[in-house]
Amino acid sequence: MFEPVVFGIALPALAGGALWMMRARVAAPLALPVACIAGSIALWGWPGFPPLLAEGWLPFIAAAALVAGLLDRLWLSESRARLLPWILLAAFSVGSVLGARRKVWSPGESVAWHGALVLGLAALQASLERIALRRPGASLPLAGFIWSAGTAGALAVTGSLKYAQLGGLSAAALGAAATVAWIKPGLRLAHGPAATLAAWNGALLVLGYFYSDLPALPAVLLAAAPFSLLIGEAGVLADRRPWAGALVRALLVAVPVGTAFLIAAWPTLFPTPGQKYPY
Amino acid sequence: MRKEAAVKILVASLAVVLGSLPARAADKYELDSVHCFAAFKIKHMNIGTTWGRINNPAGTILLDDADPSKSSVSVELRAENVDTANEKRDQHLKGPDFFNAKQFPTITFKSKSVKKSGDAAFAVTGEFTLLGVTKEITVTLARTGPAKDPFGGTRVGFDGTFTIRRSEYGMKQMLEAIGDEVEIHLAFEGVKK
Repeated sequence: MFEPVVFGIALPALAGGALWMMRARVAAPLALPVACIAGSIALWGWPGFPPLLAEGWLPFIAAAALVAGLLDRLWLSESRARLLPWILLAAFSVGSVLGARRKVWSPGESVAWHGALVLGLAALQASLERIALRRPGASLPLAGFIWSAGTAGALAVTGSLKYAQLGGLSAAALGAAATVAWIKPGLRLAHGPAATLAAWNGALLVLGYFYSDLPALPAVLLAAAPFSLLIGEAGVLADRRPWAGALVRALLVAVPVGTAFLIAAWPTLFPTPGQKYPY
Repeated sequence: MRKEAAVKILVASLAVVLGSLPARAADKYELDSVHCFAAFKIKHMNIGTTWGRINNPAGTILLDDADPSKSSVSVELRAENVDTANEKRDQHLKGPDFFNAKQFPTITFKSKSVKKSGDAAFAVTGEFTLLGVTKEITVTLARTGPAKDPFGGTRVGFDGTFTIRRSEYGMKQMLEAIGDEVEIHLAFEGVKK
């Protein structure tokens, strides 16, 4: 239990937390990728290039997100061209982890799946970015923590502790961000971290659905959960005090995430006699 | 003198005739998956031993008794066929933490050399591929048969055991809880084709 806790939770939380705390302009886009890369390499070592396992692409996705985040924050923040690195990242995230599936799909299936997933991921990035631009402080870190933790939990109960640990890395980094937001209420996840979070968790959901046993319904609910943050931008909900607003937004995400987790965990929570398996 | 010449001609003719006959090929046996077993055992929490098997192995054995170096063994296991008599555990074993069946559907062994190793045993060295990682291993296979079955076919049996470290093949999840060394037992029956 030592390594999973130290490398899977403490390391990404400390690495991410230290970077979230920094005032430097480049610190925020570094925080989540550095936390995820450090944690995954500490847990499983360098995956090689090209990685043999689909999940081995995740550190490279994080590295690409780091580059996209720096481009966005340093040079493209006011330009429409800032969308381009994020669309490329969405395409890279989906394309890299689906390598093994392309061997069994027909060209038509391959184009359909890749197209739909890249579009979905780009939409997810855009919605999180919108919230990140409008809501500095604890809102997005807290909602992102719930989303990541729920994704990790659903992956754990549907066949892969490894995927769950990868989800735990982003949860730890976002948990640290939520804590830092108490001290630094102006913490912003726009121009980098929000889109990186979408790419990391999105790739994990693709992995869980295609290579593990994450059922379609919880996978879709988890993928759609961040969109519920947009409800928080409506009327009376939008005008809450910062921390009250953050809690409302956390609740908005917690509902689909919790539902997805319950559906995914049902066979584990209430197993038939043949399904009991306490590891 | 004449008789001597006739014998020489006869010997030369025989040599030509025998030389023109094809060399005796190795016997080909296809694995009878119903009577083939690939079982594995691994420590559980350093306390007990958990057994499992990978059902329905498939493959081919070429057996040349006269020249074992011309023999070969090729075996393919489907990761999807992991069976430990517990549905949930099987689901976990087939998943990304262990056999990763959707990314790596097959586990294979292809021999590179076969040497006689005792009266009825062979040291088979070959490439064992698990999770896309290939390593050279040597397995000693004890042979039973060949013998006729009641249906007129010819069968041969092989038994062998070898050990691998799963971490060397990238299967690194839960190493402390489940252990690294996996003992693999093979019991194959081949039907002559």
